[in-house]
Amino acid sequence: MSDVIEDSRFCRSGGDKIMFSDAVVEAINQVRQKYPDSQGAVLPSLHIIQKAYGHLSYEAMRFVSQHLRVPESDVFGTATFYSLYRWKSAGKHQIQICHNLSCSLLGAESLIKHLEQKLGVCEGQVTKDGRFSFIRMECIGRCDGAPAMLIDDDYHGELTPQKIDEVLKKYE
Amino acid sequence: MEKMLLKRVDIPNANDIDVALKHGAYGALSAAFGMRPVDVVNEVKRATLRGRGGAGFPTGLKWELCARVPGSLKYLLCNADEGEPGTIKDRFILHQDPHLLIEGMVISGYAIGAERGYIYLRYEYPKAIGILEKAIEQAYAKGYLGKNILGKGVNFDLSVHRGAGAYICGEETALIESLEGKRGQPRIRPPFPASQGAWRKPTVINNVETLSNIPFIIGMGGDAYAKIGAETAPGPKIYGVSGHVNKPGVYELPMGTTLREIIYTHCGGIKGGKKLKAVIPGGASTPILTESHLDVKMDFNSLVAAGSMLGSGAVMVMDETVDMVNVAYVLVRFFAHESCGKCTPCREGTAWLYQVYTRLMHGEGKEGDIDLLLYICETVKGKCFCPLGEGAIQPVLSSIKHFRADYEARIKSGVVSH
Amino acid sequence: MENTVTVTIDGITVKVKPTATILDAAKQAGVRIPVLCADDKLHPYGSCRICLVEIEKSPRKFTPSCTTPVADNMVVKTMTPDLFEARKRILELLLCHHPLDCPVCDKAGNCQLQDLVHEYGLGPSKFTEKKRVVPPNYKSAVIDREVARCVLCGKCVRVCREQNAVGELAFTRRGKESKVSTDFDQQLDCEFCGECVEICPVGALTTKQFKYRGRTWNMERTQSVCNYCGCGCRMVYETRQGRIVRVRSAARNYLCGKGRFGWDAVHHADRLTTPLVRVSGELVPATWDEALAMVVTNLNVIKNKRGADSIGGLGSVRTTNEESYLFQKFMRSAIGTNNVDMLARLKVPKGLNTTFFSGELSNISGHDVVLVLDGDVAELNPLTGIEIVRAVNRNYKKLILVNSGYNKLNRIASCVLEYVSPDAALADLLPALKSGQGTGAVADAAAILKEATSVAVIIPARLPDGTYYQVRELLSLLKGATTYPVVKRSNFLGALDMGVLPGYYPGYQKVSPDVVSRFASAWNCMLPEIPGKNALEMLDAIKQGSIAALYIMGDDPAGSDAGLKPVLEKLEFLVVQDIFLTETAKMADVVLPAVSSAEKAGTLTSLERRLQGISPAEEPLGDAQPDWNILQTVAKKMGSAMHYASPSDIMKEIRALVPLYADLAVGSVWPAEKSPLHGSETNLSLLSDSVEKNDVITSERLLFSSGTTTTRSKELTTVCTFKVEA
Ligand SMILES: Cc1cc2nc3c(=O)[nH]c(=O)nc-3n(C[C@H](O)[C@H](O)[C@H](O)COP(=O)(O)O)c2cc1C
Ligand code: SF4
Ligand code: FES
Repeated sequence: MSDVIEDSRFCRSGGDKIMFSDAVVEAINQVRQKYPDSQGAVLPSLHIIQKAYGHLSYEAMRFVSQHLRVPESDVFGTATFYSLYRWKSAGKHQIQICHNLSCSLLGAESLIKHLEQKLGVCEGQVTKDGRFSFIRMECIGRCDGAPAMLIDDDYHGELTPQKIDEVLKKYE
Repeated sequence: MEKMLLKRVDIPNANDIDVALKHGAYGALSAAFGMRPVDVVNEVKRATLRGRGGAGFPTGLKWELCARVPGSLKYLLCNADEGEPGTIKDRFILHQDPHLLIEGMVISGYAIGAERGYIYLRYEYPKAIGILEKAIEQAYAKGYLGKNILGKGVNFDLSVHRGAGAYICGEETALIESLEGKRGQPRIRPPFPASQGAWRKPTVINNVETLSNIPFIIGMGGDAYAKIGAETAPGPKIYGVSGHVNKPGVYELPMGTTLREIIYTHCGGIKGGKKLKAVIPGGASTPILTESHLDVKMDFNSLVAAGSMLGSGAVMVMDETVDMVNVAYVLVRFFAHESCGKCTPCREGTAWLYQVYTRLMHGEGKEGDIDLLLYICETVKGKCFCPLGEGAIQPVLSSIKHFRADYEARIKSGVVSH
Repeated sequence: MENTVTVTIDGITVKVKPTATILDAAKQAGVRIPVLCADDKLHPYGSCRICLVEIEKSPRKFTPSCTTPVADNMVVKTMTPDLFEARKRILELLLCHHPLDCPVCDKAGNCQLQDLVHEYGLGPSKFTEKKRVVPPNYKSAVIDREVARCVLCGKCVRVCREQNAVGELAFTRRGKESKVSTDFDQQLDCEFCGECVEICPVGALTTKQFKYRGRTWNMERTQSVCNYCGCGCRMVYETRQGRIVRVRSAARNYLCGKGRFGWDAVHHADRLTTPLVRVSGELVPATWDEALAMVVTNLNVIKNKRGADSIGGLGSVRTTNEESYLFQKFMRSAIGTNNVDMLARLKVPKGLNTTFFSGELSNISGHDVVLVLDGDVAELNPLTGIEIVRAVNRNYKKLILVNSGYNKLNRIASCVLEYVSPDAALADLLPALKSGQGTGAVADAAAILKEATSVAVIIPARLPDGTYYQVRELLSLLKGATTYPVVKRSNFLGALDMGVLPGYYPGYQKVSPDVVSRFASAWNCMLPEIPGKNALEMLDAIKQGSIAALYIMGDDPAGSDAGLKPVLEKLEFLVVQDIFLTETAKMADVVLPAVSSAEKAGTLTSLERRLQGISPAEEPLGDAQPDWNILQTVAKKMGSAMHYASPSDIMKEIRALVPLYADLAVGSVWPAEKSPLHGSETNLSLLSDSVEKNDVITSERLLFSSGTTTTRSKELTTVCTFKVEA
């Protein structure tokens, strides 16, 4: 499967060290208030960092661990459990195209082939100009508009190759 | 039937509290607060409401278990993970009528004695997060959330917790783990969440649609509600229909509407006038049915009798051109991807199934593969920690049962797909 | 009486607690159900699914026995053709991606998967797809993780959390990618207790130490007791061809890293194998006869010239009870002085053994609240730490922690008092308990303590006068308080019991005419009538010149405190009995090679006052001899009658002369109230406010610190360097 996680991917110590901005730290402190203990804030904290920096990293997890006083291995175990935390930058716009049953019945696979050709990248890769990356998704709950995809936070349904071409134009 | 749950869905901007209020939102609150919590629970019991998340557990009973536990720190969790492939119903409420859900949660919290609620929202609904947070903020501003609601001394705090892409987190104990910031792996029961759930405190978990029924039960009374739809599980039901139908979408119908009526009356029949080949009645983990099952009533008991399950009421329709090996492959791929990895049969069984299906898809099917698939299913069956593993073998078993010829043809011809 | 339910397992009816699982009930019925992920040490988990059973009238075909509670009148079948087939299938699944590398796996012969596959007679698998790509092996200082062999039972992950509160290991990723990992897949960097290795049912976790050293069925086993700290963990030496190859915990109890991996010091190249004598300034090898002649002549000369009291003896906190007993007997009867003591008395809590008797460690988890007065307990007495964690993680009790730093106990504490020292914390806590003053954590702690009906109070390793009185007051304010002092050295208590004390004969019998005459007649010799000098006074006397010769058994004052070197240099004659050429031994005139606790028999008394036996797993190295034998030979040569064939002869004498030990069975604890010192306020610690200020005190050492033995363990030093580098 394409989402096999390589072991080396998380171990990038050093290198592009991320400084966590005050805004991010403040957002994490805020979200911490919503939970009776600090571990509850692990998922939202990771979301906040992913949103701010495009992806998670070793440093991000270590930061969350130290900031929330949750063992590093716990944060690591939790972060890698979920499929929508990213370990490398997505394109400027992330296309999430559904390949589950309803979408697949209505042609999702050929749309994915179309996307691959159009963007010239495979799943998980970023286009040369950095504008797009795409990933396959399990059901995104848009079966009534199948085949469907999300670009960033926007939903696009009843896709055809032509419609995809049109839609992509709207994203700079 | 007049729409209840989806009453405000077609009203523009109904997710804004002022619009919602104009159309009756939060109307059941004061009625509920006028009752003792135990009476609210009893009303829901009288309504014989069964959970809409998939398992169909009687809601009143679940509440009663939790309400009975002494102590004041309890949690009410709304399951808005909507992960079952094909399921789209909760999204309509979350996007178009969040105040219905919030109202339902405040009443439910009051009934079970919980002053803290979370909505566990799947990450794949990025629009819903904004809408829900705004709705919650508005509800706080108008005094429908927070301290001393309606001046009746009722407190209820609510916030949204986003998942991060894991179907298993729809399972209630995995949801709790995920809420606590852990890996979404199911917990052992007992203790049941009603006695020890989130942060080891008594907890009730209900589906979005279930909670959205509560204001109506309070509004019309449990007895009146119990008269709607199927006798064994009354109430309105939101069916989400997708696949090869002319009008896919969500349909609020009385519980127990037949598949035929849903597909041909409400959804305008099969696309392109083709023949129906197969239908999945309740989401990916419910066994596939065929044309011969079209007159089955879509309620908990009737579907079980027909060899399937109501699940989340997500109807997926397939026309005569569909190769059922492809269908089973897609669903097995999904379950292998979503198995949490905790228990042996599900983790290894789904992975093995996926390997065999991948071969079939590559045109490398072998004599005996059908038996092998059945062997693996038998290996998984009845041994898993949670229902996911059991669900994962349903597409395999039911597709082989009803459409063995598709497999035989595939193995013989060595057709490559995907 | 607690109510019970009746359960029938394979036709055997048993009454069990309603909270029991089916697996518990089966154990009680004597029925074996195979398990992989279940373990008595851990909460049920239910992941492997091997333990499935059938319950009559259940809607489910199979039920996991390890996670399912019993119900009244439940009828369970643990073996039917269907169950046999079900388990076989589960095993087949587990083997799909398991490397069949049993020939090179250290676990072979002791592998639960291997045994089950054999038992269920698995033939060729239907699984013919590609095997999963095997991730690389993860090495660490002492523990190797062969991830491909892992069956994901999660026992290592859980033991690391639930039992140890460390949380170094965790499940990562999902589904078939699931793995047990460390944080970010780095090398293990933990306490290295090795409990994960011990609990792993397969060969996924192995120790470097044991790699290719032997097969489990080739091993001889010797029950013994760990000799590192006062906890007195029971352990088993596994030997092959007379050499130790592995140490494991006895009866699956806990062992810390020192106990499990530290034994290799026994084979260290620095071990003394022959006596050494000083010839023109140099220590040179000698025969026993030569060395002993030198000891005897010099001691006799000094004794005749300057009197017996010009000789002092410093005993050991590591030697056996028998050896400590013989040491004081030697000093008193052969030399003729009560100048016998231990420097270790400087490093124990004041009030130990009179005020703060320790309860049994296994009781800690039964108290409502555990109050830890100084955060480093888990490092100093690991087993005490484990019991504290058990109280919280298994029994859901509350932990109040005084800690200026941050360690694993912080994570599980209900309430943390961040104070630089226990006395500062108590200064705030006591008023809060008495009159409800106090805010924040102090108020929380006071509230928790007031509610508790029983409290375990963990007494810090050092307790100066001021703090001592505070703790006394604290105890008077608590309901049902039991104290658990931290005792770092293995047989400290035993040595005290055996009278390595200037003022007491064995069993805390005060030097007095009665006692002296009783021992004199038993030992058939003349004995000194006045109490001797304690260790501090001896050091002073050496500086003053009134003590000219010192006999040290198994201690290294110069090594633990360089400041003591010039003091020892003043001596005319120094004898050191040890297993290594320590700093002190290097200064000696005669060095007598002793053997380690792995090479001798005897008994030790743990901090719980539990008498436990050790047994030799190896022959003495080279010419080395057990301390008791060295002592009796020297004594004989000095004209004393000692004829012990073995340590048990000595124990017979101890039992006859020491009422505390008269009928103390091996494995039991002597009752606190039986001690002659009970309730007498006598302080057996040399620690006091005035001493604390004195620079004689040696620095505290933590888990992997530089001890005489720990630094000689290759395994423990690798861990140390690794930790420093990391
Ligand atoms: C694998 C699995 C996935 C589930 N996913 C969902 C889900 O996405 N949404 C949901 O409401 N219930 C889901 N459920 C059902 C929940 O466990 C639970 O029964 C339900 O949320 C209870 O609410 P209800 O009683 O209101 O139906 C799932 C169950 C399983 C076993
Ligand atoms: S069946 Fe087992 S592996 Fe699958 S999701 Fe449930 S607990 Fe996890
Ligand atoms: S021992 Fe019961 S599931 Fe593993």
